[in-house]
Amino acid sequence: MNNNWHSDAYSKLGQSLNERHTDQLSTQLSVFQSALVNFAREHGEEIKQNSEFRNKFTQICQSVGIDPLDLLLYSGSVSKTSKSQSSKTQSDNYFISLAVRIVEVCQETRDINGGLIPLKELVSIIRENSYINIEVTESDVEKSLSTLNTLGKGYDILTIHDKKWLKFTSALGGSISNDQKKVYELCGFMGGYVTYRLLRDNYAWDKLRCKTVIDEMIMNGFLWVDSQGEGAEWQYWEPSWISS
Amino acid sequence: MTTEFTFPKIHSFPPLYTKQPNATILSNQLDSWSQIVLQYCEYYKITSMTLHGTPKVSQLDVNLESLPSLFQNKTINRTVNSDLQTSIFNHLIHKLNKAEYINPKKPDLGIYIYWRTIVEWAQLLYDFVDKSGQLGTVLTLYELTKSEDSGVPESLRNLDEALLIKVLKEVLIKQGKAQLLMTEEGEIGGVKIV
Repeated sequence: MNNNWHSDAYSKLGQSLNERHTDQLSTQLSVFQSALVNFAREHGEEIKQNSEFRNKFTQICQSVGIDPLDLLLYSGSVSKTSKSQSSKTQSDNYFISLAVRIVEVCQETRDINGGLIPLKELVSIIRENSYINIEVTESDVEKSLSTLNTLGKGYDILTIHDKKWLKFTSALGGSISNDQKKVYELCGFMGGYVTYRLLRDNYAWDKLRCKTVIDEMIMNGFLWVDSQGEGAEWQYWEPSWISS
Repeated sequence: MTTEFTFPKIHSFPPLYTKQPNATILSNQLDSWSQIVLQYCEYYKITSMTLHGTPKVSQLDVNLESLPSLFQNKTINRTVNSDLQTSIFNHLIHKLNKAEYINPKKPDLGIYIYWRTIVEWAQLLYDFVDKSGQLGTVLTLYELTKSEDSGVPESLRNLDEALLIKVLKEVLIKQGKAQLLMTEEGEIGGVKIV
């Protein structure tokens, strides 16, 4: 009995020591991380010019879990509105690194949404994924896309039902037809899905037209099928619902 | 356990309950389901399930029937049918190697869910025996996972005996780190970890 009590007390003590240790370490880590961020802001120019210095700095960033791209975004976002010459390069950097992020997110989410993503969702993913708090706005994304499009078309902004979407076509080649747009528009009204009946009632499409559009959109990954809707009528859902 | 497992948002996405015809989307759907199964099982420390996704064995002292249902979402009135259930488990078993039939000859017995792989289980077991200074000592199966005063760590407590034996046989014995001592009746009398 006594023995039991002792081992219990020891393990409790051990646990609390461990916890305290972890706490201290994570505080130290975050202090160090924010120091790095400040450092990058103050010595940005040097980091850029001296390649050896830059290599070392990038290594440190990676070892403490900061993506150097985040730093670039961060230092750029501060100066994106300013007009002086040095901050002009910084803000160029900002839009270029933002473009890299946009491409990353589009690639990562393509298997879920077929390459069509609401701008709002894109921005919130970019914000969530970065360690430092970066104020990315939708208009930043649009600006950044114009940089991307100089490398070849592939990223387009669409407006469907008052909502802006980013269409990422390089994977599928095709563009979005008017009918497909209308399907997404109706999804927006209906809280995420359409059915043949809804399409017929709203657009007076015949069955064949519905089937052609829907099947094509399923094939492209723009719609998910749901066979368990009310009244056994199949529903077709647009996947941005998952994260919105 | 007081708080219920929080399912990720996608668990309330109605089409998740219908097998998707587009192959790329389907593989994504199966990945999502696999993640849900693994997180759910880890949360409730469930080490094996039936082929219908009903928990069979958990390390926790909970009423398994009271747990929220994995493949049925009453709020949106959707259920995973058995065809999709089979696809999900096949994905977990063959694609991700995160599950295994309890007995491949009798699939109806259910499957082990490896939110911790058997190699990881073996490592935990070995570390516990090592740290408690019991390497080379003959221990009973009971002492390895159940005993109150042998300092069994939380992670190993109440581990399913069948899984424990599997871990011993398929990992530790193969690595030459364990020996089983059999009784005359052919049962496992003790384990020596060295």
